[in-house]
Amino acid sequence: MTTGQVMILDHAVALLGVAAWFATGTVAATRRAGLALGVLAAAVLVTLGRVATVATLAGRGWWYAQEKVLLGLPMLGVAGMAAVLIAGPRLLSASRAPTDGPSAISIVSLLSTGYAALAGLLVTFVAGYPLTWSTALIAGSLVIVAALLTWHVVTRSVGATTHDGVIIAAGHTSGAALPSPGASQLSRRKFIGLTGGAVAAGTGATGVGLLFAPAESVATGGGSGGTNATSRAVSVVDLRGASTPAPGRVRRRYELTARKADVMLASGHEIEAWTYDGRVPGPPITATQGDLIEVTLRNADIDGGVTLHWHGYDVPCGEDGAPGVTQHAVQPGERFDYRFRADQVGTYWYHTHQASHIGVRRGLFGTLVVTPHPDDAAAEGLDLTLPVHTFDGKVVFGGHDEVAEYAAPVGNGVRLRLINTDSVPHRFALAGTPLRVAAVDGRDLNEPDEISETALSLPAGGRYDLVFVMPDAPVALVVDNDHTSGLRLRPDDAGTADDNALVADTSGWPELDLLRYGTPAPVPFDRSSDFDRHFTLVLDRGVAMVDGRPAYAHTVNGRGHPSIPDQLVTEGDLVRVTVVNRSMETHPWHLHGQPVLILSRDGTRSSGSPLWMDTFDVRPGQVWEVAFEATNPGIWMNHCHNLPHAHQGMMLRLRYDGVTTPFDGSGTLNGANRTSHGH
Amino acid sequence: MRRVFAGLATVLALAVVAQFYFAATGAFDTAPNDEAFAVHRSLGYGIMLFALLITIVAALARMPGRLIGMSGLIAGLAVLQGLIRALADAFGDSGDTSTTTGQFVFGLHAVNALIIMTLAGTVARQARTRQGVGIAGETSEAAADPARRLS
Repeated sequence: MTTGQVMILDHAVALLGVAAWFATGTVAATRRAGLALGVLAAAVLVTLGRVATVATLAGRGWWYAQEKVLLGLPMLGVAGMAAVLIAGPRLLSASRAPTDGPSAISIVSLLSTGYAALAGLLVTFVAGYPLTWSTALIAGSLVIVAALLTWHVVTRSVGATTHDGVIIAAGHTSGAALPSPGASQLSRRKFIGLTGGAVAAGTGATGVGLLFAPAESVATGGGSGGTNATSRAVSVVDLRGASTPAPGRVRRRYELTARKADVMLASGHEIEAWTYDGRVPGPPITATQGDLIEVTLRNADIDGGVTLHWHGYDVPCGEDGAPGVTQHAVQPGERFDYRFRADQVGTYWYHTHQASHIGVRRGLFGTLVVTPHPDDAAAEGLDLTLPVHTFDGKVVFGGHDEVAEYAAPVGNGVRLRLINTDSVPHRFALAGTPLRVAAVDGRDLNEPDEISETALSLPAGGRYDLVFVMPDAPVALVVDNDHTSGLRLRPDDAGTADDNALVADTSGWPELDLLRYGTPAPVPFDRSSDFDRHFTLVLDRGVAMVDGRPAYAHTVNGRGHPSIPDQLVTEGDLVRVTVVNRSMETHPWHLHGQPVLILSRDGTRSSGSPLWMDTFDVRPGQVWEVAFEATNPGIWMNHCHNLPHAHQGMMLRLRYDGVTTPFDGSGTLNGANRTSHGH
Repeated sequence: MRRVFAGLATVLALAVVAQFYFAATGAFDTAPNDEAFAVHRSLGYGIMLFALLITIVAALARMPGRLIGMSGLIAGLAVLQGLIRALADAFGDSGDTSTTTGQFVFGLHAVNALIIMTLAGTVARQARTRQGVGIAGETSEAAADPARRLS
């Protein structure tokens, strides 16, 4: 069972437990003692089952079980034990002597166990990891309040109680004067109510108060704290790209204007897009290794502002296009000049980083491909750059919303550069030929094996370069098992016959595991290296502050942007990062400015080619261990590339010691006309 | 207090009806689910909290256990609505309800919604019939209920 499945099972058992305890209390209240005993036994069994699922989760990683082990189960255990000891004997005697009414204390204790079970489940969903004193105190006080309220209802609305708490029906006492024991009952009840209420209010208020305790602003990951030497400080605005191409190479100038435009897709369907230069995807930016790329960005009419972020390309920080960190967003009528040398070969893309969950989805993206110099490498016969993007619910592949057809010379090499510009993974299957995955996220793999009938899952923001030799039969690239879109390559001597009938059903193909693909090669560091810093990111959902407002957020270590502590590194540090996904959604993790080397997933070492990625999918229940060397000074966004998730809090910054930004805060939240936050 | 409860229960029932409306508008929106169902999701959380609130009001107003229980059940089923969605999502790698298993599980979201609507309607109706019944009416009400008189 995967950890993700254990998590689901645990939620199901927890929910069943809540239902069982509430059912026991309800049945007991309806005076069916025998039935109540049976349901009680079931509730106890489910609770014991819960202990087993939580223990299994704890075995998979403390992050998955912490709040359950420290709060949920103890609370449920104490309440459940008390309920069994209090209600068990009373229900047993009631089932033997049915003339007795239900005992109030039994009902209260059983329902209170239900509240405790529910509180534990809610803590998991509302607060998550890590458990704080605040959460524990608030949860505890809520259970006490609910128990008191139940006690208030059960004892008063049904009738007075005798000394052992057995209810005498209202009809028996209403005619007579209130017996004297009732008066002392009343005062005892008042006393318990008042003290219980005071305890609940006290713990609850303390818990709420602790919510406002200030958080750490920086995480050092076990390394040294920040120096405060402002004399050596360097601003991101001074971290700019080279001004000349490499010797013998050229300048590549591009002018991009962001504007709204109606774009007609191949099928005739028109979309209201936000575009660079009126095109979707934007103009392809290409260069030969060593060229200087110069891009002038203008904004015609995108009200929230735009930027250009070079996804996966390790530009100097000032060119990174992160609004509020490396620049202000470019507002309508404004411009920004980007300039960097194309030293890195491979498949990349660019997109706006300002309110990107809307901007990128609506079309503010394009491709960036840097090829080796023709002297250094043989070109392929057919080289296609294919961003996959969803517009209006329809997958648009390389600009086509229907099947795109190309002719390819038989026997020549073909390179398909797949780019996922959506926020969710896409599944690719290439039918009709064996292939190799030559590069992942723009970086070449070492001696990739030939594979066939194997599907590829491409993370949001990620890229795969597929290479193969064109056979003398059609080849089909299928996206998400949808045969109405995708790509068809036919041998150049064949007609334009409909090849769809030939495309095999690819839905059952196994998925390629990149951690076991290709051949190992020496790497600059590995799991046994001596790391200077180690950060752990636990991804979850929960209630947290996001941009100054409470929200049901996507959280990192229980917090949302911008309250997640910055990760501090020093230039030259070797940094290990553990990313844990406690949530039930996939999170494509993306660090700007430097690729990470994948060390392991779920404790299993990466055993194939060295795998350098800038965006890796952390699926529910997975634990990824990655590492990088801090060699590109700056302040870098570190976030989930499911862009709505980033918008809902899942975003933080990696800050090099001594690097400052003049855009901090003022560019994102407070500045006039710059009200939206950047990402 | 009982009048307040009756009023709140009616608002809850109307909110549940509105929730169906927003589910439908979301379903016919072409924007991604996160955006298309934004109102539906927010109102969902609202209904959950509101159901919790009226449960507490019902308890304080000393409404009959059945009504308190049903109000609490609405809150519980509202939580379940979110869990069904999360569970359905979890079946797919792509993080949405697109897999077949996910779709089957997600269908329960609609069934559960019908149960919630029925319960909300029942609570609102019963609360209205009881809003005139004060403490003085307690005994006459007990007298009218044979099961209660017998016990």
